[in-house]
Amino acid sequence: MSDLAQLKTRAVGYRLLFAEDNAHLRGQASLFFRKLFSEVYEAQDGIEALELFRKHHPHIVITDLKMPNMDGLSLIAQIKKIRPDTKIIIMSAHDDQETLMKGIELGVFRFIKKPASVTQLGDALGAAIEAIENEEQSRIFYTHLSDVFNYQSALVVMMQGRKMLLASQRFLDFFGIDSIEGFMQMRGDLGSCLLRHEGFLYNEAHQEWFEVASAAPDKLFHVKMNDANHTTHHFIFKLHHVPQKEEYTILSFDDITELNLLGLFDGKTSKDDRSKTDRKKIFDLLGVIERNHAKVKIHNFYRGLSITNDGVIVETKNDTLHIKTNFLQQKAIQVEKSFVLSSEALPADIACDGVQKIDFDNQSVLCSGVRLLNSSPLQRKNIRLEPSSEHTVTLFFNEHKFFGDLSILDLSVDAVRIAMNALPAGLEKGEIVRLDMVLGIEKRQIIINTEATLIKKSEQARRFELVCSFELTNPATKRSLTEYLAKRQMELIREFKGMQYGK
Amino acid sequence: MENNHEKILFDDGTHKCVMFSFDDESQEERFLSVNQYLIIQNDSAILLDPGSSAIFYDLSEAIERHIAIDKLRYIFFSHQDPDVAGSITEWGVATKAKLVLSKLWVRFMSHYGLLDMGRMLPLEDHGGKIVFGNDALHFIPAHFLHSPGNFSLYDSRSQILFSGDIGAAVVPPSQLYKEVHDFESHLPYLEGFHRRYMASNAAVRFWVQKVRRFDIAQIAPQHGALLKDQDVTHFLAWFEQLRCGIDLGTELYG
Repeated sequence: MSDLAQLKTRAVGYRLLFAEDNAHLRGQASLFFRKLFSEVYEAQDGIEALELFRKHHPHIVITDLKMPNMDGLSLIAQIKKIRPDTKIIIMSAHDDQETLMKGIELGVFRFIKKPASVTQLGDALGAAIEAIENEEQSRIFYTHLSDVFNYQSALVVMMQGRKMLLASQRFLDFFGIDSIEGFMQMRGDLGSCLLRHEGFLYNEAHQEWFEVASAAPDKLFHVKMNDANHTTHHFIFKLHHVPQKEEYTILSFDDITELNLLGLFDGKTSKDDRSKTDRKKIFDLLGVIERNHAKVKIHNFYRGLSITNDGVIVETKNDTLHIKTNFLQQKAIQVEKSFVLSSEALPADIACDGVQKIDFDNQSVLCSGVRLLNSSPLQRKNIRLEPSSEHTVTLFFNEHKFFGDLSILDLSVDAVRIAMNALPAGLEKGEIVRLDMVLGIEKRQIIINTEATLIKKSEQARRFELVCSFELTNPATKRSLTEYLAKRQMELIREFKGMQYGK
Repeated sequence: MENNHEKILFDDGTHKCVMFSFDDESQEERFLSVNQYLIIQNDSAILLDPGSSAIFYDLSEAIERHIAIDKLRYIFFSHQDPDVAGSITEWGVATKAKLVLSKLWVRFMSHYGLLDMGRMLPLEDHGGKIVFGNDALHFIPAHFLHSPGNFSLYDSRSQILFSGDIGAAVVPPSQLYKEVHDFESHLPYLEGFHRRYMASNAAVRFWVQKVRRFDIAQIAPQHGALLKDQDVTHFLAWFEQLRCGIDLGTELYG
């Protein structure tokens, strides 16, 4: 009976209609059916069966042929008009060729000769359920295939939990196999096909690829796999949950080998290589993100204040990047005339400088200048803010106060960038200076007096910029500066929000 | 040290749960006291429902007595209300914590001043968990109780269910207590709030069935008093049967 127990598990959620004019037989068989199906409808003739069918839309119908009022074949013809995919099993003592031919023409699923054994009935019902499941899976697969970018050229697989159910022809061709079963035999599972590469998705000792991907649906991952000829391909991979069907997912692998980007993801790639990456390549990569309908993040730094929102790439055409983002971000882009774009699919963040048009009504921004960033503001360890004008800074070098025109450009908890109109004689990188900074906020003054090391010096049109790093050893001073930076951020937030209502 | 604003709910040496009670709203006759919670695990912490801007400084000082605020890794907002999330911007700038909130409310946080949406960790409707060692913090869906995007948080180590607005009690200021000792006499203070603020008994049952899967030693609501041991069972049994919100549609619409 273990087969029947298994059948019972598989029959959950399915409805059965049984039409039979012999009351005794109907009662006996129904007892058996009710052990398997939670919803069983009984009819004593074709008319009653058709009524019940219209009302309950059962998935499987078992019918006799000879019945009063309406016979089995007429019933089948009516049902097939309403729901052609219904699985109909004829259970009859009549097995003449003409009747059988008619049944085949009408698309009957099985024919069982009376008297039927439990095994025969169980087999037929099991086969019917399997056929329904397969049809349902195919329907889900093909309905949701269009959600996958470029599904005609991408490798696509549908999974139920961790089990591969269906695969696109491209997937089978890539691995040189005929079926999923063939894939399992040759490759085991998908995880073993994902090759190790820095920053890519593959099976690691502490985390398994499928867990990582299912925890982040629709996120883009880079993966590397070998085809049947052992040639390595670079893909953008995405796991997509099928709506309303929790256990089903669609995996898509979008082959981007031709973009030749693998080098950009290597940790050893020099900064120089990154900055030389041509615009075309960056646009190609942005194009992949666009076609995968993946979200990106748009960042601005209004006087150092981080403003970040989601964005969508609408188009990458004619060397112009067209994005959509929300009003606040557009305002920030308007002020800064640039933005930074980040996405997990990118080897580095992208600076977008040539903002051409901001359309507030359509939430869109057009920009032409894109370059990969060697050092992105997103990687800053500490927030770096422009102080309010209520501040002074005094610099002492070799115990002498420097008399010049100094101001703070930006400030963090461990560094400051100072603008000045002249430089103290002999001040070089690595020298120690003393800084005395007075910062005003909310009608209070915070005084920071610290030793600092000059880490960068630059000159531009007779203006000098110094970057000094420091470590505040006094906890009270450090706390004051942290509090100042927090309050200054709040001040900048108010200032920025106020601008929304401005011109 | 415990004072009027602070109560240690659990402490096993590596894991500590602290309840703070900084109120920022008061009425003459009725008083909706507000609780904030801090869970410390070794050298990092999660802050729950930190409340409005008005209590930001008092609460940060109180937290600093237990752990430096830059050790806050997460700040969890059970829902979007101002007495829960009003200070999200202040906490965003004062800490480096990830801000955890239902995905339904993320976009609205800019109205509280938050501009850096990169800090948000939006919770999917089915919730999620943060694992630490053999234990975990479970974000349990509590949708429509009362907010449409609402979560409770269950801490498996302390077995405390931080229930947000569920279990909130409106207690007269003259009898303000922080722990329920007599459930029957506490009931009237629960009833009014739950009947009007919770969406429906159907929503209640989803939540009760879900939380019953966990071993709950105490329920710690955002307003009112703690429920412990037998009172947890009493509360769940009472809440499960409660007709509320749209179940009382005829009364509401007159």
